[in-house]
Amino acid sequence: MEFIDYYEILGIKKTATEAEIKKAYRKLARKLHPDLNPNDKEANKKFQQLNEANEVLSDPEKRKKYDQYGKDWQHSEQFEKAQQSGRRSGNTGSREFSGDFGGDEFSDFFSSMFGGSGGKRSQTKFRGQDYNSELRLSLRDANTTHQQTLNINGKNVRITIPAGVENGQVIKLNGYGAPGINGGPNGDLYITFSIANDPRFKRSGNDLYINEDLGLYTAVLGGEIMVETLGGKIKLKINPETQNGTKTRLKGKGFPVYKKEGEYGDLYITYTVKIPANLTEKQKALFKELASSTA
Amino acid sequence: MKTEQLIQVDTFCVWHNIEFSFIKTLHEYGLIEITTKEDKAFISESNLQHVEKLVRLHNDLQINLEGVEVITYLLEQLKAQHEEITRLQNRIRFYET
Repeated sequence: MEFIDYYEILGIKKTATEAEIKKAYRKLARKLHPDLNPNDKEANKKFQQLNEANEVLSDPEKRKKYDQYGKDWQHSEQFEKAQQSGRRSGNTGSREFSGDFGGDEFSDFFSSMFGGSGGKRSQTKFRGQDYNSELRLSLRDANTTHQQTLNINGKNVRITIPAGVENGQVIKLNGYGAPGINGGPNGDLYITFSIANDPRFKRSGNDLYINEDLGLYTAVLGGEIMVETLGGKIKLKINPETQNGTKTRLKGKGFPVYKKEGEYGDLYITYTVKIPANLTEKQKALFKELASSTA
Repeated sequence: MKTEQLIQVDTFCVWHNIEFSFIKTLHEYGLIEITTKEDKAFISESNLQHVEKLVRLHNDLQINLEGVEVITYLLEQLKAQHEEITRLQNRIRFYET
């Protein structure tokens, strides 16, 4: 456990008055409040530290104890026992914020020094802490609405992932965060999707892009090929004299549009004409004949 | 047809220990939507989190309503910019792979 300098957290001197503490707290709270820093874990952590610092320094009794033992706070309990003072912190309820912090959010340092998770607890309703989680999906997973079970702080949460989620997209599940305090509402669960690249399909928004090899003879003479889409294989007609690099669009064969049932992006296919290799002498002769006829 | 839960503003005010006039003012500022049925004001469940956030900004940080309005606007802009960044990052990813 590391010593935490509450004065440093609040950016004040050890001689700061109650008014100065309050002012510093308010100033930093306006900067770090979770409502103003959505999905910013660092800001949320700092906000918790700020609340902890304020909890101690705004309470004269706790501040006195903190100042008295300082870096030797580990010995405070022994000292207290020796004194048999049995003093316990009162229920002053100096915490003023209902944001993203819960009863378990105080540091080990705080708990050791003041006992429990704060020692005092006002009867104010506090909203539970928000949880953040990352969920890795393949592109094919994101193509369909499906359910997954996430383990959030030891608790299994079954969620439905709508088809069409984007890489980096964040969804919020109301009430799946930490439980509220004193009957306050639960926090929320924020899930960030991380969608892995697919070796065949490239995605841009709701459109998909693929490269499809085309045999020389099919490209020259036309024909039919089978193309794999995310919805299964489809038969495609190839026009005669299709050039290398030709692009074609299959409307509605792309990625599902998020939360718009029945709407899909498009699939763009780029044809790569493959030149035959390892030709036989006869084939070479035929190509030469063809070349001389078109010269 | 999808049904939506409504929370009576009076109940909301008791729960959060706030005055009805505060919610009324938020509505007058165009910051929240209120549904009125049989002379009773309601907040929809989907709007609840948003209203609670505004209450926190006002109560916790002592920000006046003009400030709450500006913050709401800026947070919306921030959200839109984050979405735009995500979209652009995905575009870059498209060309890099």
